[in-house]
Amino acid sequence: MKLNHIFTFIIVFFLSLILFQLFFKHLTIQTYCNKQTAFKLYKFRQSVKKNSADEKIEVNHEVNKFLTNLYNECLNN
Amino acid sequence: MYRISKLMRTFFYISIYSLLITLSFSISLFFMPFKYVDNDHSYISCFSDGRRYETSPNYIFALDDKLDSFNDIKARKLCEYKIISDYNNSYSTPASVNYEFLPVVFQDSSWLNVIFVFLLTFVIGSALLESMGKLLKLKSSFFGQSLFNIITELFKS
Repeated sequence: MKLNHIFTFIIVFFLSLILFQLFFKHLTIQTYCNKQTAFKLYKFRQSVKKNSADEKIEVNHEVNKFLTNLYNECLNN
Repeated sequence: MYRISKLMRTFFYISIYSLLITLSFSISLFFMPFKYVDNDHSYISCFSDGRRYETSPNYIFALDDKLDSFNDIKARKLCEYKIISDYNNSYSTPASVNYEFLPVVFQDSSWLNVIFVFLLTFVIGSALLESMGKLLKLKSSFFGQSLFNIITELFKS
């Protein structure tokens, strides 16, 4: 491997880092947190259905508020 | 002329590979591990008598390792009055927490998945980029040439 290949690799690495920080980081974290909370809600709903509880009562305003807090917590971490 | 064309080729590959690495990294991060609660194997342990109750059969459902206010009230009433699904609020809610929530926590995905997705996206992306470069009549990059050599060797053996 020539010296200019190593130099090119370093340029590509830092350029990628800058691109990620500027354009992709926020969107990536948002998508990840969205996926995470959606999965938790899916598991919650699955458990509600399995135990024959009323989904309309169980998935209520309080639960949605808690879910929003989870999403915001994920964004801030 | 040759120098300008070489410079343009280098610029093309540097910018396109930077974008590819960023994209691969972003996509792989979607698969970062996280913890979730398995409601079917979690328990509520009451302080007063030390009895343990399964959560979901007693209509207590958790989204995380802490209960939301709605399910917290249900857990308090279960420990105090041994009742479930008091949706009409016939019983008053105990003022303090009288139980311990014992969640069973599982992990979805893993860091190995993240590495795998990154490598997969990067290798597929590189192959596409190098093919695109060939369509534009550009010489392969040093990395692309090495990648093609490895793939050719793999298919030979």
